[in-house]
Amino acid sequence: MNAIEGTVKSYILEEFLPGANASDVNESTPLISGGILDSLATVKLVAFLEEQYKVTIEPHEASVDYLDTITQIADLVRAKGA
Amino acid sequence: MSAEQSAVLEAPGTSAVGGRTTALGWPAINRAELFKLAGLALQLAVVVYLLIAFRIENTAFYYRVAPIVGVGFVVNHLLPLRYRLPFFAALSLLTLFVVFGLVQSAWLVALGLVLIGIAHLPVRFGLRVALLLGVGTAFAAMRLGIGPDMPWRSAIWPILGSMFMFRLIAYVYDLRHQKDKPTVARTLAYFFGLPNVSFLLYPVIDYATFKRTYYDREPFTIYRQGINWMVRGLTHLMVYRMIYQYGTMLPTDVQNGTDFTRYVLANFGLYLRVSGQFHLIVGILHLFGFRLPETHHFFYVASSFTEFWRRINIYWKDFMTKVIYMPAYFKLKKRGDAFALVTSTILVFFATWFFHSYQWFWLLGTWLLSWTDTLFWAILAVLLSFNVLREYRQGRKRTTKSTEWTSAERTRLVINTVITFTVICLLWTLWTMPTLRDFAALLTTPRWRAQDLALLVGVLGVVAVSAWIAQRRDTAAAKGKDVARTTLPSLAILGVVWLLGEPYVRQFYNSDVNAFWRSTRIQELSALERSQLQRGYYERIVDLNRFNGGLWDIYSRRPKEWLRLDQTDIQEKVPDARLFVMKPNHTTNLNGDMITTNRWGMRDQEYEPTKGPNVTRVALLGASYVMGIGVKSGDFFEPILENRLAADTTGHGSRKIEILNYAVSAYLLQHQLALMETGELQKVGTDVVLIIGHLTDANRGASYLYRLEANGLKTPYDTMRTLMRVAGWNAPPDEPEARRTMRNFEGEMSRVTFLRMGELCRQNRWRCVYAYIPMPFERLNPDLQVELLGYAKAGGLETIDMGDVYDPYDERKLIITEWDYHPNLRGHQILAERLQRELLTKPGLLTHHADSAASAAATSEEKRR
Repeated sequence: MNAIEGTVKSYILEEFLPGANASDVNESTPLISGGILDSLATVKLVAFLEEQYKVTIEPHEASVDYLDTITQIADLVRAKGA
Repeated sequence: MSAEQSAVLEAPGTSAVGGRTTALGWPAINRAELFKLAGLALQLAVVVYLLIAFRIENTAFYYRVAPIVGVGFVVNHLLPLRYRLPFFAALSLLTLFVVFGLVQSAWLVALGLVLIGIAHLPVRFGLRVALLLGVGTAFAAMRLGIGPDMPWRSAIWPILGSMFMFRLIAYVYDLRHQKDKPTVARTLAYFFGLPNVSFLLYPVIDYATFKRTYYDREPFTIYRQGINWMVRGLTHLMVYRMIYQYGTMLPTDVQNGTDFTRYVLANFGLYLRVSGQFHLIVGILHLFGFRLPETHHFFYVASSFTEFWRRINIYWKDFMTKVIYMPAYFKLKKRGDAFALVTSTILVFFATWFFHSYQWFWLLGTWLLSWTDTLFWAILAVLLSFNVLREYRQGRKRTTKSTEWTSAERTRLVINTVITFTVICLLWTLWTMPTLRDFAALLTTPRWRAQDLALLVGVLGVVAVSAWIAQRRDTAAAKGKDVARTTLPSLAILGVVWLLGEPYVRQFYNSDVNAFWRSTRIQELSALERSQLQRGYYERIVDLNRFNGGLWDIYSRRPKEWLRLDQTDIQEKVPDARLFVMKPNHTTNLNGDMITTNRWGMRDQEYEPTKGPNVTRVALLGASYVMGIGVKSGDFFEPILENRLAADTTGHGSRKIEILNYAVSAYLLQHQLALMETGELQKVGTDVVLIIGHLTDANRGASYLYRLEANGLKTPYDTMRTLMRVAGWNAPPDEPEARRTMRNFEGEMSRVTFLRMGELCRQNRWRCVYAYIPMPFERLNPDLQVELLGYAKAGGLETIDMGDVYDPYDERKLIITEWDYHPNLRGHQILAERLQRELLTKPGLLTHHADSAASAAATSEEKRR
């Protein structure tokens, strides 16, 4: 697992799934479509990504098309030059 | 096509086993796959059969769309993947043509293509949106009937609206943000998707999701899910049907806590129709490879208001999140998270409130704005804002594979669920109330007895147990257990319901049990909504304000130009207790039929001012169906009866029978009395007064009194005034309040009205007959019917009971249209034939002569002296 993926996973586990096993979430676990990230959690995650990686995420990117898995999240962050 | 979709295409079990194809590029199918397909096709065939047997929703769906889905599913799967989407698009258009006819469908598609074309114009985004708004406004004007006549029927607007009003927004949004261009087939499939032609309420499917989830999993998994959801939808719709037929009641009928609980639960339960339809729609789309998400998820057992919002109509929530919430939040987040979250949440509810009216406009042609609606969304916005802030600060427990719930957490969840359910039930009730005053009356009127409280506690106990079960199912699902294997047990239950409702089995039941099982097989208006539909003939305002129930559906198909008689120029107000009459010598066009009155303001032929010798004059009094609303002059029971009596002299010999039709649309029993008081009947030499009565005679007295006072008049009868005083009548501000005030006195009002009618009959030597003749589908409580006829008898009137006149017939074939239950020509013929027989059972009725009776009485009096 790369650095971004690892950081994002840790954040998700800590922030949204306290007490869950780390194995409950992998790089392809559906986060939005699987109900882990609702709209509120999504905006929190966006705030974290923007703060952590100094990137700007657009409103349309705060969606299942870009943030549904840890892989997608990391790809989006990388695409923004982080 | 995504990499995942390509992988599925290549994978075994997707028709192309191991990528092998025939020489023509057709997928080679192995035996195992054929068995799987046959098994699913068999299950689907059973589901389609049940949809037809239970007559689910509308004929277009169960007779046309459902069988097309059954066949289309198999063909679709046998095609190579690249042909499946074009096939689905073509099948959808074909279904549109089958259901809607070639010409109207062509117009519908053409108008839709105009919108899609504008969305794709090679101009900047802002200009495209402006053009769409312009064309949308022009379409809205046409929806209202403004502008020149168009070559298409107005009936296409609700369907076009249903297809484009929201999905076009989602589509344009994605056009702007998605990298790849949509294909023609996908766009056509998205907008004209096959189930839409039979369901006006259609989930707001997100275009990006529609594209992303297309065959993104193993096909048979998608199909199985689809059938599962169709069965779930069918189950929801059957439960809805029972609630709708047997659970609903008028708010003014709520008297105690049990009524209140029933009213509130039934009201919320009616939402199962939406949930059922959405499951059916999305289930069908699964059969063609669209692995769309769930539309509703245990929404009755949400443990908070945010949970409720997330679980009920999930597609709407996602749509709002995408086009309102996220853009608003991103714009506002610089001003602080709390401010941005709350403001975005409030904006979502504002938009939902607006879009609800916008949807109502496209489906029904009018704007829906009411205080109860506004308050409902405002309160929900406030409650959700609090929940959002709390969740933002404290988080919420989510369920994953390893999540364990402690007893304390479960207990808290159950308690929260019961509280949320209670609040949402009350809010939902507020939402469906016509006015705030009605809601306040509903809350304050019921008396709460011990048994009412026990029932309420029992209901909340069921909610608590359901919440516990739902939570366990969600946990099991998160742990990867297949909890969706409900198809076969559910199908088995539906099969038993089907068997018990079979006509062969029903013949062994008594009439009540038979009526219950018959009601599982038909989609018809409930008694409550039939009476609402009928109220529509009497009032401008019908309490039709939500997508609950079935009446809105019917109204959406009613042409905008469909009028009641009082909306034409033929009626005029009068300053007496009749309140209004028909203008003499006037002609008006009512929904295509010419209504012409004679010199006395009757829809009837001209008669000599003075009654001829050897003539019996019958004054016929009644309401809309008695004056033949909906049929042509000469095609309703009065002229038919008159002709029959002329042709068949049984019972009256050489005496000529003239039936003078005094009926006026929307006249109630009290209007008839007012007419009898005017002296009009004496002037024309009336011998017999035949009053045709129906349901309204038992329950509309208060409405009449309210209108009388609204016209500045007072009832002249002491007995009526006494009743009003005892009931607490105090200038009620509106008609519902008047009805609530007098609800325990309706029978008495009918009784005193009949008593006065009897006095007038005796004074004028008329033979007066009260004939109870319902409209088709009109059912009066049998006890009430007996009571009504008893009052007429007690007043000294003779009676005729034709309450069973339609029993031998299929009433659907006796009405004008589905949105107007006035009898058609066949219905009137049946009425005329039966009424003739009934009149002959009254000896001497047709030869009665009021003047002779008067002179005979005078002679006898003289002799006595």
